[in-house]
Amino acid sequence: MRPVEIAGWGLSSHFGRSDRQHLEGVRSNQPSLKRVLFSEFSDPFEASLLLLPDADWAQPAVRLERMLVEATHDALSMAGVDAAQRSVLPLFLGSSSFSIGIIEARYRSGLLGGARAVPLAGLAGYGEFLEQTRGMLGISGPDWVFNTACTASANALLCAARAIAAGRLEQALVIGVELANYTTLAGFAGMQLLASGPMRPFDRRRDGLVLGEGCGALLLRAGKDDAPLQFRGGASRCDTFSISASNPDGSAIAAVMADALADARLSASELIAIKGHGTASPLNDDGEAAGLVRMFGARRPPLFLLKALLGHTLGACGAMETALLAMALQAGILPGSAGCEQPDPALGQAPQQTPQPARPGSYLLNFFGFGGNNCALVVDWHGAHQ
Amino acid sequence: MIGIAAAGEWYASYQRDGATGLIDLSAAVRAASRQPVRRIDRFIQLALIGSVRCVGDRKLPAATGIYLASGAGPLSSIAKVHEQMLAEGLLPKPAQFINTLANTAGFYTARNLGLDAQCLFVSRGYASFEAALELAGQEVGSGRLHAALVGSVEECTWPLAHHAERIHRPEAQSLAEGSIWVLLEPGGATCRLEHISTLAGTTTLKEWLLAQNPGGWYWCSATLDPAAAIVVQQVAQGQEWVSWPGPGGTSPLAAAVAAVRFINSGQEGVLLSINADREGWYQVCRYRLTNSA
Repeated sequence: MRPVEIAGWGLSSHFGRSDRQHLEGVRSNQPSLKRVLFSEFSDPFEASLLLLPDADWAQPAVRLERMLVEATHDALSMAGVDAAQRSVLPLFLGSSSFSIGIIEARYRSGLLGGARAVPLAGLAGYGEFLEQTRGMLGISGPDWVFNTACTASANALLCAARAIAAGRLEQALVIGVELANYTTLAGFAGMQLLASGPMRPFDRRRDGLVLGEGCGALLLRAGKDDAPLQFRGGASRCDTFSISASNPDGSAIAAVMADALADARLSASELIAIKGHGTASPLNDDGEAAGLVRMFGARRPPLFLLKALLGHTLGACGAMETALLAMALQAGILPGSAGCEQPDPALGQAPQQTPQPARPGSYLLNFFGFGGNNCALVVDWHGAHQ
Repeated sequence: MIGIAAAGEWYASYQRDGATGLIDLSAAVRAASRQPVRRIDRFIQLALIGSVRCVGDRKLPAATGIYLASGAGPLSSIAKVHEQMLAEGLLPKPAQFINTLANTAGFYTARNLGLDAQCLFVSRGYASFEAALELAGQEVGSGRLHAALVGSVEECTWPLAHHAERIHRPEAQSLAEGSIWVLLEPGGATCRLEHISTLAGTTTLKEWLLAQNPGGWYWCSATLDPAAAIVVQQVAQGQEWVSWPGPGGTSPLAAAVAAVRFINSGQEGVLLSINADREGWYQVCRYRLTNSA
């Protein structure tokens, strides 16, 4: 199998677009929450959100194009992908809601206009979203769209890396994108999974998640063993215990981490740190903590959590959190765990709360989603080359 | 070499002017369910029915992957949630919301068959089946998976006029839904997936076609652009390939239907499948059926 280099990355989030803006966010360990009242519902509710800076909620198409173009342009520029390469560039795209925010706006407009409105009219499936995305980004090539809830772009990363490692592809662009929308908000509100205030993963006061929007893009290519950042391995499994929560005994989560380490040919003791999924919902943090205890026992590597920083960006979190980690490692920073100020002793896991100097080595990244979809990735960082 | 150990389908097409409703799937779901299922939508029902028709009485190893392909996903659940939420201001119930997620059908399929390996939902418009088949073939070929179920699932929504608007085919008179599955295993089977790839441009497509042996069957999607369709017809005539019947019309299910009907036909020989989701990019597969594994 060939080494797979992470040759470029881009990130568009509530922090902004640049590495500088994101690294300031990592160092400050503080997201900039926006509290929004959704009065359109018969039972109005408030939710904290992490939206693109200066974003107009009423202009979903503008927000979507902006985040896609910003993140992808930066990833391709960093990796030096020219126009000729873009014309045949394979694309692996993960999202959970795609352009549903735009379809909602169209339907709502039809309802307000008094015309016969058909929900989802003009949706045309995921293919059309892909076509529009390729058009915005000026790229072409074979493509795969992944929709596995919150693991969508993590699975996209895994599949792209395996295709490169096996020699089927030379390089691939991986995108995770999530546009905030009513369907997701209302769905999480209906499941009582939204935090009443800030998101507090693994904290004793945790009461739910804060949704975020954004886009992460990574350019993977066949590389050399000494590339600064490498995709080392990973695994993806299905936990059929429950459609909306992982097995609380931690067995399914331990299994996917074990598979990922085996795929990366690593032992548990060789890991530098673990990025937890950490959604701050009571059941999911319980399941992840149980999985960590089962897998690592008392010798667990340091744990850090990124979702309170970026928001839970659902299908985009695989690409966005990997891109944020890439930025941080290249700056020599191991991020902390924003929102976790009083670690819950019942979990048996105390995440690293504040940023620390990063050490070269292997990092495990956990991503879990509805539908029992569990994915774990391993990334190697060989030290800053700046 | 990737073997196709089993194939199965559930497929229906409706004429917009004559249909009085969608086919009731209740009995077929009961027959397919190896354990009780509740609060599932039509998309999940279809996935359960098709996957079990493929697998039959086999007990699959738990490390069998699932690759569920669809061009449009669970439309009926999303449409219902949107109507309630945007027209009436209601929050979706948890089960309703969960059913709007594309991979929920994969979860129920995995649970029904006792599987715990990779379970992906993959899309590429009209060529979604090939997108999933390529990923699954990679994992089975590398030995990471003992086997993989690859399914192409599309549902219709009622009324069909609304469905046609949802899938951007307002003029369509015939609309199809179905659940078409194959079981991939390493080597050995009577049917083999010998080749699968995506080709760029008609010149590359022509070169690939000319490199194939004379004789056998070919299936060509109605979604091919005219230039590519002419290339396929010309080469097919020269190579004396016989057209393999597909389900007709344009649907993301078409390539899977043609392949599964070939696999289950029992006729020895080769089927070349040529599909496209957009102009200039072509998905090609070569299936070989033999009487001895």
